[in-house]
Amino acid sequence: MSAPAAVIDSAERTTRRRWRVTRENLPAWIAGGALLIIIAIAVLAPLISPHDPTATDIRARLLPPLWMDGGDASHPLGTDSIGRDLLARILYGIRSSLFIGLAAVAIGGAVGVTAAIVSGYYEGRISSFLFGRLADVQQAIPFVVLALAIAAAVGASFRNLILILGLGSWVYYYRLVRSDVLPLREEGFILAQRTIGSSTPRILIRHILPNVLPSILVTVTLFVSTTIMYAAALSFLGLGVQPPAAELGLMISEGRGYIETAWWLSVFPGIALAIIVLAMNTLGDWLRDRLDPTRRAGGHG
Amino acid sequence: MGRYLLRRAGYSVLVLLGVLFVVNALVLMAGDPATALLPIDATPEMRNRLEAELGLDRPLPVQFLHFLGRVVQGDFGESQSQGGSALQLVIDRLPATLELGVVALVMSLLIGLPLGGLAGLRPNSAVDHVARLLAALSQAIPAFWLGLMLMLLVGVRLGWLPISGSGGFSYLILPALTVALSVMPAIVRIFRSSLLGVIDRDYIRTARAKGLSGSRIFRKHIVRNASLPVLTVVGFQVSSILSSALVAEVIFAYPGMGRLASQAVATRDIAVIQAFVFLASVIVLVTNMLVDLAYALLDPRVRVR
Repeated sequence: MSAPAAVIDSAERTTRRRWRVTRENLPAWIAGGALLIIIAIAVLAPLISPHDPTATDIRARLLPPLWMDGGDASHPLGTDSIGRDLLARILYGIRSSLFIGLAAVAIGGAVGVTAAIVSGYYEGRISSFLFGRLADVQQAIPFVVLALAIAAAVGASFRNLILILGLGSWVYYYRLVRSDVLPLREEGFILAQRTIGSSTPRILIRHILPNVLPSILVTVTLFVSTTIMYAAALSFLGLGVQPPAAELGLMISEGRGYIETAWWLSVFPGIALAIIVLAMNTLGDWLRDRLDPTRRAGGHG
Repeated sequence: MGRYLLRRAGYSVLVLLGVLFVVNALVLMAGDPATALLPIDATPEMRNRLEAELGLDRPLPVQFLHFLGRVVQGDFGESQSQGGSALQLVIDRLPATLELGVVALVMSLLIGLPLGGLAGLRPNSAVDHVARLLAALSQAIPAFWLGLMLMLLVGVRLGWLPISGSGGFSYLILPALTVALSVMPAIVRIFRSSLLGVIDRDYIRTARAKGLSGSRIFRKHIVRNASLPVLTVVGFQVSSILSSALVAEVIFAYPGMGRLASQAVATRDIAVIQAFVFLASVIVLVTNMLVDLAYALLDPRVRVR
């Protein structure tokens, strides 16, 4: 009886080693910690922000960061051309970037995953043809080009930005999840469910969905960061969040005119954006390596 | 091969029809064109006359066919802000954007292939870690911000390169570098992982056992097999190159079609935007088709499918 116990024991030890802080896992732990801080900032922004992000102060225009000549302790990162506190705007900018990213991924993910499960399960029928061709058409139009065109047609706003990013990205979830659903269809436990007369919605929700959840999870972590990046790029182009709201891409764009005199206006929001994306990508890559058994062996990928 | 080519081309035309449907739908999304064009005190008769003139009183499928008929003749309508053919305006800017895209692609290959190659041949070495870190960093840094930083450092502080406008190769370097750095991570990653997938194959061991020199094995057996996935990725990147180019054109005031389109957004010049979306997808579809053809030429297994 000792052999099976030893097997379990060693399996458990490998599992633990996989999650423990080791040299290999260190980047993921740092990224996880950074992400927790970022999420805390996003949630607590109204409580921890030193100023109102849209409050102007004409006496404190274009103040440099604290450590430079002329810096002011009440504005640690300086102020913009109409005296708004840069730190407060970055905190709120992180909040809106995260919100846009999560909301857009929720919309795109819901549409894409539903389409993938339905069309993957009924392979060869009308739905899979329709979704497939729609995906082809959408992927023939570069994403920023499509977003620009739709924003031009319906107008740029916070809400439209989320809708454009969400509905514009369903195709990526669709393609990834569908390739996971296709092999499941022929699995014994699905056939068994069909044999005992389970209804199709029940099979889809209770049996197919749980089996594709890990890959959905990985896709989502990797896509929140991409979505945040696109949201910032569109706001930078004037196609997303509108002034005077605080959004990182918009702030970088507002700082453009002062790049020679007040570099901090576009430098700091960019660093904040890069940290968010880097933390999410590092954690997403790591999760993918953990959850995807085909990638677990060795350093491939 | 001929049949494959024909099928591939037919498929592209179908997708392009779908794109045109989206392009046509943009006008409907933009709201009622008649309301936008008529004065506030317009009578119902004036409205009816205008709607008949624009074809808005006909059913949607008919409107779409009418639109297709115009597109075949190269007519996307007049630019509302600049006058003249909208398609011609965009086509005039096309060479500048193509130039930017090609230079950016070459730059990203020049940076990405050596990095990915070194990383793939020596997995888990110091070079590998540096290459992966660089790829992760340039993936995380927003292209438009990087463009601004390049502008600040190289253009403003050092004064080495012009920071905006056009005229000669020096104006192309910063925007192209901005685009190249956003495409580079994908090239590093795919070349690294496809090298990793090739170097421990049996045929490489056989080649080594035959006593072939290291450089010959590298050239004839490793690179040749590992470069096919790179080709696919480069094909897919055309779409994201166009996206990044649009942003870079706006930052550096580079007179390509992306900048034209972003100006058209400000004036709600839908005709120009329609022509722009159409041309951008034509570029994507044509390059994807060329990549597929190159793939079929290089790898005979593809043709069988």
